Amino acid sequence: MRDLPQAEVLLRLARAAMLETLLPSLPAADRYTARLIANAMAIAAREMAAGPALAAAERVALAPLLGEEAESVPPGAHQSAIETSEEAVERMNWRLAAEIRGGMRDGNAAVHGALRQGVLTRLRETNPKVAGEAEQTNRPRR
Amino acid sequence: MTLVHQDFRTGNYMVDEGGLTGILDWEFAAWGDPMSDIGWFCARCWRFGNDALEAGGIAPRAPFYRGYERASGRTIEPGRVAFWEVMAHIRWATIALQQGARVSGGEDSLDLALTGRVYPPELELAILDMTPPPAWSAT
Repeated sequence: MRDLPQAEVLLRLARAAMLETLLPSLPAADRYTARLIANAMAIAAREMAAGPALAAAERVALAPLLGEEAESVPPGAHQSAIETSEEAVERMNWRLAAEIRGGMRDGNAAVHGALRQGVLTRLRETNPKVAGEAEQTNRPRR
Repeated sequence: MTLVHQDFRTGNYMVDEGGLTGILDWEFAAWGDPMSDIGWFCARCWRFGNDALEAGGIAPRAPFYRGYERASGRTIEPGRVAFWEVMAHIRWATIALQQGARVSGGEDSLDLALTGRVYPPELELAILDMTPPPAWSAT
C-alpha cells in the first residue's frame, strides 16, 4: 500500500507551485511553455481521477446501439479471454464507424446523441470549460 | 477547378495599414474547388475565439464574401462553403490526431502531445453540431 497523498494530489500541487511560484518570475517567452506544461498536468490529473470509468461508461452507451450486452463475459472464461472495456470500446467504435460509412445509420438520432455524449465525456477531461458550455446549452453551438 | 491554397486562414497572411502584404505557407497548394479555401478561412476552428466574426475571426462573413466576389469575379456558393467548413474541421482533427500519433511513434514533443489530445474532442463536437441527424447520409 502506498503512502498518501496519491498521484492526483501530487500533480495538482506541483502544478499550483509552478503556476504560482515559478511562472511570475519566468521571462515572457517561457510563460507559454509553462502554460502548456500546466495544461498537460491538469489533463493528466483529470484522467487519473476519471480512471477506467470513462471507457466503462462509453461501453454501456454503445452496447445497446449495437445490440450487444454491456458486459458479455462468458461464464468461466479465462482472464485473458475477457475483453477489457478499452478493447470493447475500440471494437465497438470500429463497428459503428463501418455501419455509419455503409449508410446503415443514416439520420440516426440515437447514434448522433451517443457520439455527442462520448465526445463530451472526453472533453470534460481535456477542456472542462468548453464541455460545460456545450452541456449547458445542450444543443448545437452554432 | 482552380489553384487552391489549402491553408488560407488567419495566421497565414500578412497585412499592414495599406492592406494585404503577403500570403504564407503554400506547401499544401493544389488544384481543387475554390470554395474549399473560403470554407477553411471561415471555419469556426480558425476564428481564434472570435466566433461572431465568421470570416477568419476578423470580419463578418458578408463583407468578406462581397470583397472576394468583387476581386475574383466568381460567385460564392454558400452551400458548398458550408460543406467545406465541416470538412475543414474533419481535416484539422485528422491532422491533430496524426500529430498525437507521432508522440506514440517515439517523437517526444509536448506541443504534438497536447495537439493530439486537446483539439480532437472540440473539433468532433463542432462536427456533430454542424451535422445533425437529418444531414446524415453516407451516399
